[in-house]
Amino acid sequence: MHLQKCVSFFILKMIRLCMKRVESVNILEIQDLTKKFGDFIAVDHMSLSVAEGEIFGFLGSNGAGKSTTIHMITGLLRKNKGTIIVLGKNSEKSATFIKRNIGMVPQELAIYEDLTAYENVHFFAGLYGMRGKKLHERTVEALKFVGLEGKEKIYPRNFSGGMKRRLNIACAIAHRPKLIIMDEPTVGIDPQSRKYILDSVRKLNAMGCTIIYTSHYMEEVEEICTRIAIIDHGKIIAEGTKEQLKSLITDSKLIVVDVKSPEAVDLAAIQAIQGVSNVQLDDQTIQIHTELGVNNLNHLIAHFIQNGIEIRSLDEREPNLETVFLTLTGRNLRDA
Amino acid sequence: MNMLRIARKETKQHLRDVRTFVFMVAFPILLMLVLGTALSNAFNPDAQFTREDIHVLYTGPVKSEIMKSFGEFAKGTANSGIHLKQGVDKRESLKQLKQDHVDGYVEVSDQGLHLYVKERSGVGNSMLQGILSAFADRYHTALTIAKTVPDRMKEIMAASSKHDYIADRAILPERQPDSISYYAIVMTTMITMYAAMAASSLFMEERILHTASRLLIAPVHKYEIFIGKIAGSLVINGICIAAVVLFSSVVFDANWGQHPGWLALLLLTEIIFAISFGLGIGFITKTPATAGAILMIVLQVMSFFGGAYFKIENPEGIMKILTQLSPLTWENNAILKMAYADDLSALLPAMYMNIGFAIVFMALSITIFRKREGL
Ligand SMILES: Nc1ncnc2c1ncn2[C@@H]1O[C@H](COP(=O)(O)OP(=O)(O)OP(=O)(O)O)[C@@H](O)[C@H]1O
Ligand SMILES: [Mg+2]
Repeated sequence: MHLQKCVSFFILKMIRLCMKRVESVNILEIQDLTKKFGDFIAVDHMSLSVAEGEIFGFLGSNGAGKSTTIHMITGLLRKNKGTIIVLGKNSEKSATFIKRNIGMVPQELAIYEDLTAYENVHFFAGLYGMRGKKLHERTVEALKFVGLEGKEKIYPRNFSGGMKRRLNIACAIAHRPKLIIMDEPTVGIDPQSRKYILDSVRKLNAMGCTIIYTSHYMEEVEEICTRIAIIDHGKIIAEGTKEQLKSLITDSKLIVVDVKSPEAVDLAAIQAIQGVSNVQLDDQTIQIHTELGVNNLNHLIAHFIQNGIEIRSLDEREPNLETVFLTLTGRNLRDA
Repeated sequence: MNMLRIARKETKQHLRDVRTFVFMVAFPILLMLVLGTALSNAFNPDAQFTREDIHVLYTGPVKSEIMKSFGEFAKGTANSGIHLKQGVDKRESLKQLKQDHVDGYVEVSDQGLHLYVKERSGVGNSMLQGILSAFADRYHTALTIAKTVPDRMKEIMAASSKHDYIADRAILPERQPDSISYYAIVMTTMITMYAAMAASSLFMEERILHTASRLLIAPVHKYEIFIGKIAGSLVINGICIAAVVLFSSVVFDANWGQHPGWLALLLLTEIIFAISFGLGIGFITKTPATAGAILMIVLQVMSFFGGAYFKIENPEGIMKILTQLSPLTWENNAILKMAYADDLSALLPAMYMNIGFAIVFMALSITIFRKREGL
């Protein structure tokens, strides 16, 4: 009886120990990472960690340093300073081990137009040490995963933009990496392909992959990411779940005005109204960011009426990631 | 393993590229055909012989019967366009022939006539031979009638019935290629050098396609990429050049000589030289367009002075230096000597030159490749 108790206690302890280890595993840890191009500091003492199983969003305007960071993690660029630890191994000592376990979907399409879809995936996956039947199976699997089954023998030059993007992803996942880094995988594609890609990101994650997802599209990041880092001028300026990020913005709200002729609206004049921090024309609606606690709704409505602009609807919204980004960086994400 | 995989990918891509074949195979074959037939006159000395008079020197034992008769005969041939003039002596006459002052030299002796010409074949030579045979026949007939030297008679008769009563011998040691064979050789060595063009964008191309990133983030050593790509390029150029050589020898009947092994080795070293040259230029320039422009100029000049467009004969002064500076002159001479004089002496120097240049440009490329982040 005593022995049984002892054994079960021991087993329990072991399980707890294992659980603890699993919990604490960070698939990626970056400390003090710095990259300079001449005098220009592209990545500025960045520190960050991504836990296993996350879909980690990397948000930043053009030139923020997202790609540069990713390239240092994948070993494409040399860092000037700092440490990168992937799966518990230091990038300087275990470069090959790390390379084997990472898949990167580059920001630019990186495929051979004169090799078929199958040959593209087969070639790149082959570089990870697979061959023969296994390589063939993984190739077929990856193509199927991104919805290109039946298109194996087609040359990418005959693909649509969305299909090329999907092939770009297939080339990065066939070797079943533990960490997949996607650098703006949905740039310039149709909504259907985008949905396909977002679904496959979720599917990959469900299969156990950790994903770092870079995008300009706020909605995408909001939709799929479990945690988000906002990066600006090579620094992380905010980090957390989307709720955490939104809670940072307690002093601002968004008023969306749908008007009949938005092009007739004088944005500068609205900006001048008391309490307004930012005005934008977005998708035929006027988006007005205004300070919380300043009741300027009357002034705003009066402005539209005085200028003879017909208001279709007016909506006060919760701050979204766009607002967060705007407030933190002072810039709009997409056209900064 | 990765090296092989990359080489295979490279070969596959180039095999699928129609431009490879148009440029490396169809283009040189077409040029051989066009230049080989259009410029064939330049290679045919007969063209001059038929238009101009033929001047021939002769010498022989002054007092002899045959010499007297030949002198008489010589006077009569002038209006047929063949001018036979007595020379000082054999040595002087041969010198004149070598320096192209005359078209032939006939040594008259009791044994018969001995004709020396610069080249064995050609319409002009046939004419000379015909006229000399005519003399021989007449002289022999005259002798038969006179019966002055009865025992010698038989000999002369026997000899004259055969055409080789007039022995002819070309004094140039080498045979000369016909124009199609000439162009087959020079076009092949030229297009081999053009392998530099594709090589110059070998790595740039991966950068432009962004596939360089994919290759570099894979667990593959940078050198595996470097060697793999070059090996692929070597294979594809080897196939193209072999196709050109085979085609020209089978279809155009071009003469490539009797040493296929040496020929293959020479062309292989030339491909290596061309690839390294292209790589080097590719690495020191920023865009494929710049590299292409530089290479185009260098290769054109090299081809011109290497005799790719027309044969540069007996160059002098600066021209001689420029032709000697063109690596293609070296390659072409090596092959021409091998094919037409069975002389292998120019092969090794040409190969050493190829390897030497290859090492220089390869070292340059590797130095830059090592320093560079990425490909
Ligand atoms: N090789 C380089 N040499 C010099 N500057 C560079 C180089 N690569 C990137 N930069 C600069 O570093 C900064 C960060 O670039 P990076 O590509 O990381 O931005 P990003 O966040 O990925 O932007 P985007 O959304 O446009 O892709 C930019 O200002 C860029 O101009
Ligand atoms: Mg980027």
